[in-house]
Amino acid sequence: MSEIGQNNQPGVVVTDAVPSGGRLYWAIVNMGRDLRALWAHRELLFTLTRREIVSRYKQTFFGLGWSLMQPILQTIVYTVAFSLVLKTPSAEGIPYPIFVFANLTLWTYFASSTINAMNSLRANAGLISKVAFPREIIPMSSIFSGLFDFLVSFVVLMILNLFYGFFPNLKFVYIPAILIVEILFILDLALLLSVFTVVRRDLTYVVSFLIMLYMFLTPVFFSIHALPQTLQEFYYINPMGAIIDAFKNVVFYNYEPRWYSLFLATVVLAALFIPSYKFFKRAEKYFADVL
Amino acid sequence: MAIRFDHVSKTYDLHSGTGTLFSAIKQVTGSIRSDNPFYALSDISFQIGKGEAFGIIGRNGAGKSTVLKIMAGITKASSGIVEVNGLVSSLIELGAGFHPDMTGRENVYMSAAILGISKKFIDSKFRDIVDFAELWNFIDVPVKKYSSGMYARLGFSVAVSIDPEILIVDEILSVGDVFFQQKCFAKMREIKEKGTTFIFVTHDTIALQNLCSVALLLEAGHQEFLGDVNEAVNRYYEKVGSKFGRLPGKGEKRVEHQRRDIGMSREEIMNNSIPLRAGSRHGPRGLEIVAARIVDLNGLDTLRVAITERLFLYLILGANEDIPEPLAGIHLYDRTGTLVFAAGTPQLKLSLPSLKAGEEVIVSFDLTMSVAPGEYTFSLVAAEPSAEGGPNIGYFHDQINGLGPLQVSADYSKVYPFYGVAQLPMKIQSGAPYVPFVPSSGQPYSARSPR
Repeated sequence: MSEIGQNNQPGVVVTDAVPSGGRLYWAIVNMGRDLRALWAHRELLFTLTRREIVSRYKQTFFGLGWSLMQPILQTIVYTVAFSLVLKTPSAEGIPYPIFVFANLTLWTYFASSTINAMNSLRANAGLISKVAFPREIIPMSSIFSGLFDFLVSFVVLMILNLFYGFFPNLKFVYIPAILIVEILFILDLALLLSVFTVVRRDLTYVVSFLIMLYMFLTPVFFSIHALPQTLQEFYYINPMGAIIDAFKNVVFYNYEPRWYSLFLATVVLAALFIPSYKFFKRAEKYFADVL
Repeated sequence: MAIRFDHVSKTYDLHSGTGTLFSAIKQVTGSIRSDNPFYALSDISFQIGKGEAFGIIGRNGAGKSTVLKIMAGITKASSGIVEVNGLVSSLIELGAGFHPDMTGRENVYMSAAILGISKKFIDSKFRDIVDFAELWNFIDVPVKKYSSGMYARLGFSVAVSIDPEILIVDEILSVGDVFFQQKCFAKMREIKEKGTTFIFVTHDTIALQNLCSVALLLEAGHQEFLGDVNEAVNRYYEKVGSKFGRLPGKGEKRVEHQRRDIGMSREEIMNNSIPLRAGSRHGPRGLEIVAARIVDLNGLDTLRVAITERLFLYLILGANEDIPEPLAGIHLYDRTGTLVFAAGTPQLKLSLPSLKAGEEVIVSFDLTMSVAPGEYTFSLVAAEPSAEGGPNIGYFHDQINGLGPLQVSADYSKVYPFYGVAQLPMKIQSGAPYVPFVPSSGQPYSARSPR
């Protein structure tokens, strides 16, 4: 068994020959080739992302409302249930509704993009069985199209913040960096999980449940300070915990992100990307057979 | 060299969907082989040179599409070496990447993006693409509003307009009307002349012979034949359908087979037979063409005939086994290899007497050569009906190809009886002369003032 790469590159010889040379050497060569093919297809990534956004809102009654609906409804439910009934404390100095809304803005993007990306290969089975292109573009376009919903939600958050007396500050320049870490996390998960979904479709339900469990471990609707000290440290190791914490620092406190936890998350996620991507690329040649 | 397949096999696991998640993932990543593999292709080897036109034929399920999908990079070979050199544009399904909610214009760019072609390049080709598809009025309409013909036109237009180095065409010429099909053929010839490597899969053997020089014949995933396209097509027809007797259908009349009606004895035919070793000959010869004599209206042995004159062909069919329902026919090809006409007893709704092993029968054909002046070759076929292939497929016991040439001549000093490939039955009538009524003047011609 060896590799066939994308053969849609002009002048590229695609061969299935058994390579000589070290495993690591070929792993790097293959990955470089895969990434170049991905780069050559960047316009497809933009087009598919746009297509997904457009087709999601075209011919719908609420249109943009759908991207607001989920965080707004959740915010109302959590505000009533946790803040008003259970008296759950918010993070220091932040009114509970915008605290939850801010967390949900990040979390909804994470949860829905992961699930969408996971199902994306099955959803695009027709395309996969008829045309050749780097398959990772499909989950990636799912992830990037989710950014649109994130942006809408973020604008609403800014408006709510003004209402509660929080104003945009210079530290906002860190938000794209925080977002990149989150995208990297979703990408790692999507590359692995989308392959699983290709072979067994019901895994989506399992993953949805696990993501919900993860939401409780990453406190989204209560403050980290409600947890014991030892658990708080664990919170900053968990990537979504680090991301949410950094976002809170920037948006509400005008602080720097907690760099060491963000940096740790980045290193771990970047390292994880290599095997996930290789795993995906290895499986992708069989997608057309299985789907 | 554009494409090389070296001992390529492709297996599918027919039991995927069972087993543990872990084993399924291992299979999808190629770590383990299926314990019950189905060989869609086994040990296929061929090379296609740059600019070559290569055909692939075979029955349904022979593995043609699998070969194409491996070439296009949609799926991967299970073993063997595959080398593909150059930009591949595949017409495996027209408009495969189209999204119904997007407009024609957006889908053109989308299709190009799938192939990794830059927006700039498509900008320069956009006019040609829409011109060819004749869709300027609809280019900004979502493609879900398109008719299937419009959809196919746009898909074809994109695929051929991007200057591919390798063009893969799979059985797509059955879409659209005859005008679109002719346009597609013309475009494909043009692309071929530009030096594009061309891979063509079809059941339309005439189109295949027209477009390709070399062909691969596949049979149940095996490489049955690789070489000259005409040879491949002949072998394909040999493969099609298995030998199977069929009861005579309704509405078939039996040929009157009293010897006196034939008017030609066995000895006369045997002694004046045309040489039957002229071209290639195929078939198991359960029913054999023993001899064939061709005479004109005057009873002279000849292969020259004037346009619209009759030729008489006498065949001796010999049965080497019991043949309950023998069939006989003739194929006529023009000098470009196009099948001009083919018919036999089934087309005339006739049935020949059933033969026991060792028996012979004489069959006569009376053929009016209403074809354009020129040289023709012909094939003679002795066959039996095939149950598997349907009414239009026979099991060929003996097929002799490349007989002739038959020369059809015309007198250049006279008006030809027709122009074109062949004469079609046509009647022209006219009524009596009459005087039309002209509304503007309110007067018939006759009432107008004379000049």
